[in-house]
This record gives sequence, C-alpha cells and structure tokens, in this order.
Amino acid sequence: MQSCPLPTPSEAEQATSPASPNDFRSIFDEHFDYVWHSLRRLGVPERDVEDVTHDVFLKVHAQLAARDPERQPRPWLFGFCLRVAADYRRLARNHRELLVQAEEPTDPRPLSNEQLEREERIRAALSILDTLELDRRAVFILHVLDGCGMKEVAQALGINVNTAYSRLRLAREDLAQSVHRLRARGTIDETF
Amino acid sequence: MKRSDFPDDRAIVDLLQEHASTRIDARARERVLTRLSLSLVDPPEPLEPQGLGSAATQPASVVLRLLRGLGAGTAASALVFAAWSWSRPRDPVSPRPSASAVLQRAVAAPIATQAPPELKPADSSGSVAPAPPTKASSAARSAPSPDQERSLLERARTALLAGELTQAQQKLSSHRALYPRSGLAEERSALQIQVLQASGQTLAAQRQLNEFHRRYPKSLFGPALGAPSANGE
Repeated sequence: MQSCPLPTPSEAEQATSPASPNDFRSIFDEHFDYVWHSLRRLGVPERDVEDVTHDVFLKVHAQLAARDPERQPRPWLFGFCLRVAADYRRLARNHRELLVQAEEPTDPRPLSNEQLEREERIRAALSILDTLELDRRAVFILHVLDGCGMKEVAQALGINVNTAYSRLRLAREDLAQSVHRLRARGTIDETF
Repeated sequence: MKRSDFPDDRAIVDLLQEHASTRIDARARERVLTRLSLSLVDPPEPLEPQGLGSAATQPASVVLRLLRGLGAGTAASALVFAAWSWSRPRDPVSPRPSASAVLQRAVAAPIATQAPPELKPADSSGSVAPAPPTKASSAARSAPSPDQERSLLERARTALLAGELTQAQQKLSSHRALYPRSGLAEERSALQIQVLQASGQTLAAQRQLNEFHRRYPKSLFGPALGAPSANGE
C-alpha cells in the first residue's frame, strides 16, 4: 500500500492538545482582536476587515504545525497579516477603492460627543498611518505600537536588523511629514 | 524609543495603542469562526491527485478492507454499513456542496450529545494522560457551533468511506483544531483509528486503538474497531 501523508496520531494530538501553544482555537480566541486591529493598521478598511481576518486565520491554520512554539505568537501572526493585507491592497479593485475611499461607515448607535471625538481622532490616526509605505509601516507597528524588539521585528518580517532600523527611521520621517502636511491643510488639529 | 526625538508620533501612538485595546464585537468573532469552520470543512479541491492509489479511486475496496480490518463480524459489518448508509451523499453525481449547502445540512444535523473527554496520546510509559479538568472558557469555546462540529465529522466519515483518506485526515485534523474539547471526541478518535487502519499505518492504528479501549471501555465503537493487543502495546 502506498504511504499516506498523514500525521501520526501522537503528532496530531500533540499539535492540538490543550497545553500546546499551537492550539488553533486558543490562538484564534486570544489573538482575534490583535489580528483585526493589525489589519486595520495595515490599511484594510473596516468594511473588509472581517473577510481579511478570515483569510488570515485560514493561512494560520495551514501553517500552524510549522510554527516554532518558542516564538512569540503576535509577531508570527503579524507576518500573516502583512502578507494578506499586501495581497488585498494589490488587487486592483481594492487599490482603486482605497484611492477613492469614502469615510468609514459610522456606527449607527448614538455616541456621546466624547466618543464621537475619539472615533474621529482614531480614524485620523489610522489615516496618517496609512500614508506610510507598507514595509515601513510594518516595522513601525511591530516596534513602536506593539513594543517588539528589533530582532523580533526583523525575524517576523524576514529582514535583517539593519534594514528594520532603517525602515523605522524612514517611517518616522514619513510620519512627521504627513502630520505637518495634514496640519497645514487643517485636516488634523495641533494635538496631533 | 526616544519619543522626544519624534514628537509628532506621540499622539498617534497613544491613540492607536488605546484603540488596540478595544474589544471587537463578539458577533464579528462568531461570524469569522463560522466561516472558518465552513472553509475548513470544504477546502479547495487539490490540483494534484491525492497519491493514495487505488484507495482514492475504489471506494468499494476500501469498504471491504475496512470490514476485514474490523474483523468482519456481523455487528461490525452492520455498524459500518449503517454508518455508510447514513453518511453517504444522496446524489453521487452532484458536485461538492456549496458552503451554504454545508451550512444548511449542518443546521439540520442532530445536536451533539455529551461524550467522555478527548482521547489523549500515551506517554512513553504507555499510560494515558488523564484529561485535565475542563475549564468553563474551554467549554464555551467549543459550544457555539455543535451542528457544524457534527457536520465536520460527517464529512470526515464520508471521505473515509469514499477512500479519500487524505481528505478524511484533513477534516479530522481541522475538527481537532477547531474543537479541541469536543463532546464528539470519542467518535473522532474512532474515525482517526479507521483512517489509520485504512491507510495501512497498522502500528499507529493499534496504539490508538489500545488507548481508545482504555479511555472508552464501553464505547459502542469499540467492537467495530477491533480488539486491543494483548500486551497493550
């Protein structure tokens, strides 16, 4: 009989035992919000983020067995987010839509003035982040927003540490320019 | 990071970090999980043949081999035939069902009944690790979609009986990943053993079988799967 590419039972069970860091449901439950927010930071609009989150977890499921359990899950997951978000943005129809992107749909529930202002500021912050090139933005997000060390960032993105530092510097310069430009236009206020 | 060097990113960083602590709507989470279940039940068709030779193309031979592997007793035959009759596609000519069809069938499927905890692999001494106490959160995680859970196992069984062993294994692996604390763990373990037996992995199958009998000594699936080896190895 031909050999069958099946995992041995012990491997299969170990890969998903409750204590295993590679338990898909644990990863899904613990990091669903992180994946969602990371995709938003990577420029996936609110209306599509649910679909793209689904795509990310499909890929995560396919690669779960290959994951080194010693590695932190978030940088590893961010690598999937980055690739899937890049694919999403590469699609011509999404690119076109992003260029003419309308305001994000607002939550139909009534919000207080404070909540509205906060929503507005978050939206503005995401828009500013969206002006960065994706590669630079990825380093900025992982290092500055998520607090990962640069070695970890470089490993997650498959680049060397010097490149990561270089991208971070460029990202900050770009960010500063974007803030100045948007302030000058009056798009954002001086609190940014 | 020296923020003083980059005063312009301070407000943005604070805002985005605060935003990241916002919980995403639980309904969105459930929707994604439901879609994942469906996607994992019906993965895209592989471009290449499965590489399982006659097993993939001659379902009848697989059923016969299964019957032989199960001891060919009357009870075993009846059980396998009943399982086959129950789970086989009603229209063998029709293409793979769409996701919505899977969902409809999942909704129509019987609710899973409570079963003993998941079968665990033996450690090096051959003993079975006791199942850790079920946490409420774990139970809640497996609770949302019992119908899809059942449906996924049905698909694994159908694939097994059709001789599509790789497909069957994929579905069992998906089930194990999505529902690690499943109430259907006993049935899943029985199917896993059948897949191993059908694929010729006799040692692995026997090891699982011994564990199965230790874990579920009164299981209805037990007689059909075969007897444990005398030394328990």
